[in-house]
Amino acid sequence: MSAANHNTASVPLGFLLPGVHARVDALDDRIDPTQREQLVAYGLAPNRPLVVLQQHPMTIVMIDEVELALEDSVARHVWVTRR
Amino acid sequence: MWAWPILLGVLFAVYEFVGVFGAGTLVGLMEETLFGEYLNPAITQFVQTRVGLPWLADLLVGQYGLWTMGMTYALALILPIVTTFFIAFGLLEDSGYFARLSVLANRLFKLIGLNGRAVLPMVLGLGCVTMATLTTRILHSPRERLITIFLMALAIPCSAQLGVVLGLLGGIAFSATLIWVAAMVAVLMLAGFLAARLIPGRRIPLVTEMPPMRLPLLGNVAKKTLGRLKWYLVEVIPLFLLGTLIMFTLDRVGALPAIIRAGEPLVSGWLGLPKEASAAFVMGFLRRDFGATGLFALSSQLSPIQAVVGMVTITLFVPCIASVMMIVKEQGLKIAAAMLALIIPFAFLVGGLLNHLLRAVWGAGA
Repeated sequence: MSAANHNTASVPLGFLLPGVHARVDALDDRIDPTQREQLVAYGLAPNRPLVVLQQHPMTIVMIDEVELALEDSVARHVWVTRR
Repeated sequence: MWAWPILLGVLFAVYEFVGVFGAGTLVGLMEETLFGEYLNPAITQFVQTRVGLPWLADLLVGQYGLWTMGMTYALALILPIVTTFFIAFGLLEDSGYFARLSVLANRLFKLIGLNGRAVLPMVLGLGCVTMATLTTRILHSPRERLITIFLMALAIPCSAQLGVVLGLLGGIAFSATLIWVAAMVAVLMLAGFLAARLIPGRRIPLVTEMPPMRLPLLGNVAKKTLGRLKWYLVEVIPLFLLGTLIMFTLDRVGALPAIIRAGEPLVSGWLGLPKEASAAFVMGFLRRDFGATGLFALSSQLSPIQAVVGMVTITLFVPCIASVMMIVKEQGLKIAAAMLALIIPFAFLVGGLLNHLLRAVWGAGA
């Protein structure tokens, strides 16, 4: 899925401030397929809720009980909607 | 905000435990007391009186003997260091700190075509590059493994070598140690930068789970430490024995003195070191810290510039034979040979350039 397919409220995960709650819309197809599978396995999949914990030095989110760190080049291709 | 002070604290604690307690106190007890005063004299006497063939006795307990060199290095020198290192590594691993260290180091490692996950083998390499080469299996792509193994073989000193380097340069001046550190970091970054651009494939961005920080469970740490020690005993000791056998054979056929003589123009001319330093480079191939120790023994004959140039060159110079064997095991003979063909001239090139630079800045008499 490319950026053009997202709804207008979708923003890249890397743009959200710490403390913001969001829901995953899509994982951009510019993310390497193997890495996309890895993200889904960690729980970062469409319709899953998450909380942004920090953005520096990397994006760190909490999904259920899993804390996941993503590099900016990945976080900007994860599309989310604020809740 | 606290990440860097915590990192410095962790590194200091690891250095105190592995570098001071393991490489200093425990190695002193094992090498000087247990092996030096009791085991080696008794075994040497036993072999020399019971083994009729002089060459066989020499192979077992001579200068390059399987027991007096191979087993003594493996058990008295390296075992205490790797044991303390495995314990420290296990404690950090079980506490959940390593994932945070990967995140912290990610930006720096991006410059050399890697991601923060590569910090783990590199930190481990400061203990023992041989073992760290094996742990590059935690990296996700063959390209990352290749770059990390190459950089470790080139510019990451093992703890034993680090101890000797700091011992010699620290005795000269703090600035000498700083020049050595700056040279190592510059080479690591430059070689990584070039390797990342020359080795085909693309960099994999870091995505990692952050396990919760907790007090390490001693049972877990003990289990992992014992598992790693078992690996060390089974896989590394045979490599030490093989390395010793190679040195013994080279010495017997007269190749060792010839290699030393052949290297003299390069060592004395280009690097500006005393000709006796040639032997240190041959010994450095057997074990990295050996070469450094060889230079340490010459320290009274070395000027400050010679000491810095010698230590920089010997640190960059080929990894020990056990590491080379491990690189062959992990990457194949062709890649290992290519790495050596690149590393050896590069080490002498950097050492010679540093020699000329330092002499130009401080003058030939320094």
